[in-house]
Amino acid sequence: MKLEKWHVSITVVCLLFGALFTSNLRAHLHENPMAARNKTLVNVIKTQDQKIAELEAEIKSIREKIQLYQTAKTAQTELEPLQKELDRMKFLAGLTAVEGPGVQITLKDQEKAKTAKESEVDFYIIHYTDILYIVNDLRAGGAEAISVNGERVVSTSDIRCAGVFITVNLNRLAPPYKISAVGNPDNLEAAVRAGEYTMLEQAHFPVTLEKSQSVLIPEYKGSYTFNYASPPKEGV
Amino acid sequence: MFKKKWQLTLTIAFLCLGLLFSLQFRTHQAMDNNLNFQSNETLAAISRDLNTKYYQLIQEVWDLRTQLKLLEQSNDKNKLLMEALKREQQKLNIATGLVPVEGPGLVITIPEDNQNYLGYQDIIDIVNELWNANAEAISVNGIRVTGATSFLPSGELSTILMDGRELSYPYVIKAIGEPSNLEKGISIPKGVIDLLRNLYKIPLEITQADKISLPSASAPNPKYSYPVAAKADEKPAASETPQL
Repeated sequence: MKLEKWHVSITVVCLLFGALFTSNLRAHLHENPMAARNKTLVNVIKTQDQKIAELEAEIKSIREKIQLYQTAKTAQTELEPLQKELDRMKFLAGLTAVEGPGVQITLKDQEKAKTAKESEVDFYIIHYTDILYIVNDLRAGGAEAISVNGERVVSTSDIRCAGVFITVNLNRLAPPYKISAVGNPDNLEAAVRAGEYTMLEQAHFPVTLEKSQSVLIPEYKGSYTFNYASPPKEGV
Repeated sequence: MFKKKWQLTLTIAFLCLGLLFSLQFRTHQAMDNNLNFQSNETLAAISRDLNTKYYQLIQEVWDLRTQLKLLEQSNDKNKLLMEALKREQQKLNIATGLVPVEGPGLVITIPEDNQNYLGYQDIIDIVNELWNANAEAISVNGIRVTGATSFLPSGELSTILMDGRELSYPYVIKAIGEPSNLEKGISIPKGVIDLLRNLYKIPLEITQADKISLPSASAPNPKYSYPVAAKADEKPAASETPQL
């Protein structure tokens, strides 16, 4: 039999085809039993997600109501200065959406993460600590408000991971990670470039940093609960 | 278009190959973002955290409803209105660190250790773990941690700068909250405390305390951000115009 050029091409394509097919099949066979085992827990989490979203919506609506009430009731009374102070405190505590100049940072996993061996995937993905340290650098650069994927970072916020998920205020984020900050854009950029961001850049992560005239940061949707901490009783 | 039969065959084969490739890609993506592919351990941890958050939100809703009720009942009785405002003010004062606070909690002491070096990122990690363990207020070497707090290495890398101030040994991190939950929360296996203690052999001490006192922080003075709803009339007069 005479070997023609296209014979070789077809052979190569078929081989690739087979390899991909089996690896696909393998991935499915590998995961399905696990998925079944976890089904109950996954359902529990989905219910929790839903209930939390409902509570956050309720909190938002009551906060708005209280705001309207208070503003109306204190207007032109001796309580007006106290209400004005409260408005400012809410602003400082991250309970108000804010806008201003700043920076927008985007962090993505490396393409290699999709093909790397399981033992090496860690080198190619963004970790929660990357975000935690960049948030720290932004604060060092004088950031006045910060959010990650729309989740406001406040004083008591935690940035962690659970499995492959990065969480902020315990809300699971999906990549790419977009960190927004309001402050002096030059100072923010300098502070961020002096730290973790540059390490990621040097390690060939597809990261971007852009200065912007106007960055919008949503309000904190969660709770402040103080059951143990209280101001000292006598004198301040 | 297809002059020879093999061109058609090859095209179809490549199309199929492309399809499989994209399928493969999709599978990976799904693995990254789907709860179904997480281990039971991870799912249990996520669920536990969400449960805590759920109860905190319930408490917040309860607080807000009480506040709203006070407002509704206050009508012309300024006393009730005043009470509602003061209650909110106290909460926000603690949240922003503008008042000193006291309560039970945890004290973490890290003595100087010539063999081992504790980095600024370790402090960031510890503070972050404490927030996760539901700390309500934190200080490091007597400086209150707020939403503006940062930790950086000093020029020589041997010391840590907190908000630009150099920290000296021993590093003392205090957190107010339920003491045993705080300790449990930060002592998780492979957590930062576990690693510092057992891998890096840093001789840190953790003690639960009935009462610790934290100082207040100075008030922030935002110059660049302004509330979105009130931007038309309440834009602060920026002392320096940002150069873009």
